[in-house]
Amino acid sequence: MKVAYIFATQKHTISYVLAKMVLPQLEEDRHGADVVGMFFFEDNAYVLVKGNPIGERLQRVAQEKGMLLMACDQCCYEREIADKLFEGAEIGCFPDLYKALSGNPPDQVITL
Amino acid sequence: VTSVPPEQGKDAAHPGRPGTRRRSVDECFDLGLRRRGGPWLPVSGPICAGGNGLELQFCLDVADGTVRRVSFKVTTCITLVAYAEALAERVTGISLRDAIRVTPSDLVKSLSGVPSSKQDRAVLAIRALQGVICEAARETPNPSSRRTYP
Repeated sequence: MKVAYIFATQKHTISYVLAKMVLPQLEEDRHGADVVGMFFFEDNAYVLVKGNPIGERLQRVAQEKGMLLMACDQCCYEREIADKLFEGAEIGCFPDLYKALSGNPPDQVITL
Repeated sequence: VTSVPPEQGKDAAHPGRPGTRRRSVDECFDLGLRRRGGPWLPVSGPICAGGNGLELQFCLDVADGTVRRVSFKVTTCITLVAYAEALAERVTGISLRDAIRVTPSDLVKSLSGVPSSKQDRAVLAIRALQGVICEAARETPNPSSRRTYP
């Protein structure tokens, strides 16, 4: 099964759910689903900034697996990080997300 | 009057002039959404379309060859709205002749923080502006080019 994750909540979504659950499982190839993309809203977008240690791990996994990494463009502009994301991470809105995923669409979109 | 060096974000040719200061996308987006909801002006340009369903159309109020007011209709891509607003501010109060000289590169420089993958919106914005300026020039010929006959 192919899935896409939308990181919309801001509790421990990145530091716990992504960094301690999803990402280690992806690194160990035992996540149980093919993750075709991740989309980050609000403060979650900081994970895609160059130098973020979780982001660096995510970048490696995304490069290996061809996974889309995109952050909400308005969220990034508001935080002045739109031009500070690491290579391979993009900014965009829903039309960009759907277009980017159209070549490899997920079976499920999971909002976290 | 204290001059502001260009490296501090002002246009050396027009120090202090609104619209030539380097602005944030976020700031221009909010202003652009307000301008987008404003009244439609007498000279309409063509609807210019880009990728992803993006569209932009300017309209102008021109008097004596000078842009008095600018408005636009635009799809709600934050980067495109911000570029349209920055451009509207930049050309308000200047002649059509000067307005058509604004380049995509000028526009890119006027907004900080836009990643290169989104800077193609500046080309679309300039294309839309050039379209409305051509229309305005047709409708309001340059007064200096008028010939008088006895």
